[in-house]
Order: sequence, then C-alpha cells, then structure tokens
Amino acid sequence: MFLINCPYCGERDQSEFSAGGEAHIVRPKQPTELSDDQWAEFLFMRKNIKGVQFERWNHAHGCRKWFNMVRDTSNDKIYAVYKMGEKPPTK
Amino acid sequence: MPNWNSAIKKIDVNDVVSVNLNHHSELFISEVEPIMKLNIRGKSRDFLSMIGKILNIILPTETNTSTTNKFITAIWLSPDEWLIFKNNVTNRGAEETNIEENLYKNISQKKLGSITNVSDQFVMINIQGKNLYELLSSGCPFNFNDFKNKKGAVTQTLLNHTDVIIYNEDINKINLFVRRSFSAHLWSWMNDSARFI
Amino acid sequence: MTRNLRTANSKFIDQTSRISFKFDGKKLYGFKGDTLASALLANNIHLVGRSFKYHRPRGIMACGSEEPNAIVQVGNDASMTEPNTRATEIELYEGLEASSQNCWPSVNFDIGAINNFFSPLIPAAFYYKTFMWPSNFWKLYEYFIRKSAGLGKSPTEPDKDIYDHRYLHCDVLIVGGGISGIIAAKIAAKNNLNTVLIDDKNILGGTTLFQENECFKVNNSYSNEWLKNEIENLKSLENLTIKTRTSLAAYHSYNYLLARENLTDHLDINEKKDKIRQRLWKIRAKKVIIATGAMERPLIFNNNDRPGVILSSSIKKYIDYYGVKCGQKVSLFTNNDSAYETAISLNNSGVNVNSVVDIRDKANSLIVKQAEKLGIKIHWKSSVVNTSGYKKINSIEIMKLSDDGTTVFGKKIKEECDCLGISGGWTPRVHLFTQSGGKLKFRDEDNVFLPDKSGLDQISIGSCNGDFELDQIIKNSVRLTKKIFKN
Repeated sequence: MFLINCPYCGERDQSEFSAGGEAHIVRPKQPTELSDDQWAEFLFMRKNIKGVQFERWNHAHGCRKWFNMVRDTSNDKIYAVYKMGEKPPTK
Repeated sequence: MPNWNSAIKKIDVNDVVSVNLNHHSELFISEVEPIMKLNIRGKSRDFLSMIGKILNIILPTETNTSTTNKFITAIWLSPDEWLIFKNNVTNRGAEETNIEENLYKNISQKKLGSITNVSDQFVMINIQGKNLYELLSSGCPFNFNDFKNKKGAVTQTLLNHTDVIIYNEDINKINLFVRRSFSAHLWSWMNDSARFI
Repeated sequence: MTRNLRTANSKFIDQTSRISFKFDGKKLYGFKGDTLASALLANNIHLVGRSFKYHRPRGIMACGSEEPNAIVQVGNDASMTEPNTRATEIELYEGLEASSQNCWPSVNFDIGAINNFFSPLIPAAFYYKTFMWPSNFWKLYEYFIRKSAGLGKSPTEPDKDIYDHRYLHCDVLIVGGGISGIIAAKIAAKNNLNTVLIDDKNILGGTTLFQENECFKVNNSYSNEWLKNEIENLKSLENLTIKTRTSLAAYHSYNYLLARENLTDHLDINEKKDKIRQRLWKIRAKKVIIATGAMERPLIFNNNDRPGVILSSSIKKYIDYYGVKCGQKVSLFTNNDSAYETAISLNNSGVNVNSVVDIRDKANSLIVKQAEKLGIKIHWKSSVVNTSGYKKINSIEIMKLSDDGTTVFGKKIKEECDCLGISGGWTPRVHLFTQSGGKLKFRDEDNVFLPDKSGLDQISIGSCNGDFELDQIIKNSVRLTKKIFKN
C-alpha cells in the first residue's frame, strides 16, 4: 500500500485511488481509416514494463480527478505526479 | 415524496453510550435533518462571481478548505466542484426553493455551471466528542493529525470502505456527509466501532 | 517448590502478590511481573516440551521472543486455547493454564522418545520414502503420521474475543524501547515531532534496565539508574506516545507498518471479560527508527540441546530481573566478554558459579578482571565437548583447544553442574530492516550482518546496528537520530 500525492488533495492512501493504465496514448484522429489490427493496437496493446512507467490514476474516492504519475512498477517508487494535460517530466 | 432520511434509526447519546463496553467514551452521533445541500459545479470566473453575488459567499479555492457565512457553508470538493449546505436545520420551504431556483436561473440556464440539489442524496451526520478521531481512525486511512486542529478543514475519503465527506466544524466536532444508500451501513458500523473506543 | 530458587532482591517482581497458575495440570505459584518461563524456572521446572521428531527433552533456553524451545499451549477452553505460544512471552496471570506440546502421555514420560533410540533408522524424509508402499496401506499409516505431525492443538470453536484495528499516523516511529530507543524517543519528541515508541515487553528499558555494574556507567551513575531516570523524563514529553506490549508484525514499503497491541492477555481471567483482547495498529510513519537490539547466539557442541542449557544473557535476566536462579551450580561457556557479566551477577546473588569456559587465549577487559577478582574460575582456551543428563543437564566435559582452535586435546575434565550458560556472541536483530527490503553487509571482525542500504526513510540504531559497547550505543544513537531529522 503506497501513498500517492494527489495533485489536488495532497498525500493520500492508495486505497482512495484507482489505476487507469498507461498514460499518453494518443487516440487516432481518424479511427474509421484504421485497419482492425491498428485499432486493436491502440485499444489493447500496452507496454506493461518492469521499471519506470507513465500511468494514469484517478482519485476515485476523493476529488475524482484524473492525473498522471511516473511510477517504478518494480518497487512502487513514485517519481512524479502531474495534472492531466501537463507535459510529462523528462528524467 | 417520502423522506428517505428517516430510514436511518435516530440514535441519541444514551443509545451510543449503552453499546459501549464498560467504560464511557464520550461520543455523540446524530443525524442533522432536514437540511439543504447543493452540489455546484463550474470553472469560469463569471461562475464564481455569480455564486458570490447570489449566496453572498466566496467559494473556497484552496484545496480541502471551506468558507462560511451566517447562513450557509461552502466546502471544497474538487477544483470545479463544491458542496453547499445550510448552517441550520430548516423545514423545506420557500426559502430553499428560492435559493435553488435563483441559482438554477442564473447559473445553469446561463451555462455558467450546474446546480444539483443533493439534499436527499447526502445524509449529514454530526459527530462530536473527544474520542471522535479514534472512531474515524478505526476505519479510515486518512491522516487526521493536522485536520483535527484546523477548523473548517474538509476531506473526502473512505470510512469503512464508504465514500464520505468530512467537514471539521469545530474542535472535536465534525459533520459527515454520506450517500443515503450507504448511510444505514455506515451508521451501524459506527455504532459497532464505538464500542471499542 | 523443592528449593528456594528466588532471590529477594528483584526490583521488578512484586513478591508480595502471589499468583497461582497451572502447568500440565499441576498447581504452581509465581509472582506478579513473572513470565510463565520465569515462574516455571523458579519452580525448578526446566523440561517444558519435546523436540519435533525424536521427542528429545526440551527446556527453556531464552527469555524473550527468540525462544525456540518453550513452546506451550495456553488455556484448555475449546474456543480460547492457543497453541505454540512462547512461555517466555506470556505474562503470568491468576488462573493461567498452560501445557506442554508434542508429548504423550506426558512431558516427563513421552512414548515418542523411542524415536531418539532409533534415530539412525529414521533419516530425513523417512516417512515419505517408507510409507509409499503398499499403496493401499496409506489409509492405515495416515492416521498415525497425521497424529505425530504438527505441534499443539487448534481451537475447535469460534474465538469469543473481541479484536480491533486502528490507523495511526506519526512523524517518527521508534521500534524497541531499549536504551537506544529511549534516547531516540527523547530527541524526536524534543524536536517537536509526533513520536510513537513501541516495545513488546510490559515495561521500557530493554536489558540496560537491570545492568547494575561498575563497568557500565553513564554520567557517573549505574546505567540502569541513569536509564530509569530517562524513562521517567519521557513521561513529561507531550508529543510522545508510548505503547508497551506491542510487537511489530510487518514492515511494508512507504513506511507502512503493522503492530499488534496486547491489551488483556496479562490480566486475570475475570478482568479480561468484555474487553478488547488485541488491537492491530496500521501505522504510517514518516520516519522509522529501528532499535530492536541484538540477541545472543548459542554455541555448538555435542548435546547442547539438553534442558538446563540456557543463553547466558537470559540467565542474567532471570537472576537480575526476575530474581530467579536457573540453577544452583552454573557453568558458563563463552567466546566473548558478555558471559562474565552473567558470572558476576550470579556470584552477587549467591549462586555458585563453577567456572567460565572461554575459547579465547586471554581477555583483559575490565569485566573479565572483575570476574577474576571475585575468584571465578576460568578455563582459558578450552571448550565444552559434551554434556550429560537426560531430562536436565547434570555435568559437562571440558577439553583444551589446540593453538589453531580446530581440535581439542588432553584430558577430559568433568564438571558437575545443573545449568550451563552459553554465549556465542551477538547477532543484531536486523529482521525488520530486511523485511522492509533493506540490504545487509557483513562485518568480518565479529561476524555480524549489519543494515546497509535501504530505500525507505529509516535508520537502525543501537545494537541492531552493530554497536555493542555502552558508550558506542549512546554516542551513535544520538548521532544517527539527529542526522535523520536533518534531512
């Protein structure tokens, strides 16, 4: 159980949040022009890496806002938390 | 329209003490009703100034805080969402309808934001007593250390896996907002947990 | 009580309030402040259990959570009985009923002990290899094998007790209320930090609490008196919470820790009623200071598992803290100085110390000189090679060690004794540190693993960080605690 520093509410317990998967996946501008494989690639294929990963999280039981987080999936260390729309930090 | 709030058993001080084990924990839990609660959402500067004009209150923009005037209190829920409730219990009447209609006309219809009457959606429970935070900390992972000394502080968190909004009204006195459908469960949990403090 | 094994000088045992309890159905007496183990030793009961496979007699060996032998069943109520509890951790209360495990019909006469004589025929995995055939006979074997497997009996009815849990947030959590924990608590609380100090014993102080010796002085007073004063001063610190009888159960990432507070286990049976038995604390600490201390190592020699073979520091605790003599004629076997503290304590309480067997050539520390001055016999460069006595040790055999220390030579010296204290040096309790994901390093000079790298905001201080000398412990505890608050 780790602590997450919600960019709106401050430091809270992990149980208040829900994870929303990998961040910064751009939705194709013209989905109709894509092949099924390309669409599936966008919809389902995720990197799921061991190591530092960019993720979306939702403060579901707090302010209900979405935000981004940089987390090391191997040890749950959180490197950065930033609001939606903000640029991801460069290491 | 049935008053759903009355589905919750009213418990007075004596009931709470009587379920405690051998020793008295000073804890008073009661439901505050009927009371007007409004959920307001909006972002623009016009929205904030219009609210200020109508309700004569400055909405809190700082996180986890609240503002209050003689009649109402506004608590921060999110950067674009607030909960407003009346400071005193009043029967639902013209006054409440007036405020709601006034806001609806000037906010919702002008597309500045949205107004939702949540009087019956949220149940407001008042808890007071020196063992209050012991009760909360047995079901809530939130750190109350700073919260309990800060009058007007607000937090949204989980209490025994139930979403709640907690407003620090005064030292050792809080108002807790919980969704009506969860309230009976939370109420019985509080009764049970109060035995242990 | 066969002999009087109590000394009158313990400050921690209230000898005016007698408590009756039952062990293996026999009514015995102890005093307020005793643990089950100390009360049994005071009643000259060493044999408390049987080993798992060969049913060899097992006696009390230590005095705290490190106890490997004195594992007993507490209570005989179908819903409240608790197996596998350490006799050294059970505080004595009126009406306590405990019994030995893994023996039948009794701990004194155990039929399973026959395994010991056939031990050459029962190698490892004997059961699995032997009872495979004929395959349809398994049903027959199973009954007996299941019966001999496992220790203790589980309760058969639902638990009637009430348990609670609670979240706790603090700036600093200090684990261990020994000398370094107390030093750290004082510094933390005076720094205006919300501090929690937890200890698994009923009172703070650790082993320094009964360390009354010329060699261990702080500011010109005995270390125990100095510490007592410090503990007294802790009470005036407002932002310090002290939780005794609380043991840490888990150390997760982000300094999230679980601790169990024992609320009623030490109370009389009629006082326990309608109270919460245990409370689970879910602790979020900004910083954690581990001050769990060290535990003594045993030494290796033939038949070192007999009842009456006890860690020397535990003998010291039993005599100095509980006022209980583990024996009347005590021998000690050591490879370091700490057994001499035990020798001096025993001597001061009027227990006959046969000799100290030391594997070293010579030692010139103050404490050894003090022991020599008292006329305690020391066998330098010698080793205990064997012990005898079935249900309790009655003699040891000592031989000279060769120059390189790899073999023994010369005549076997037989020494009569009823208790043997062993001291193989100290092992820092780094368990919490490693559980939190910390990595260890090895120190060659005294062969200990020490805390090294950790990703969490925590430090280890005191003897769990490898400081074994009093002045070092104090100096480094202060230095490290101040350092952690700087960043």
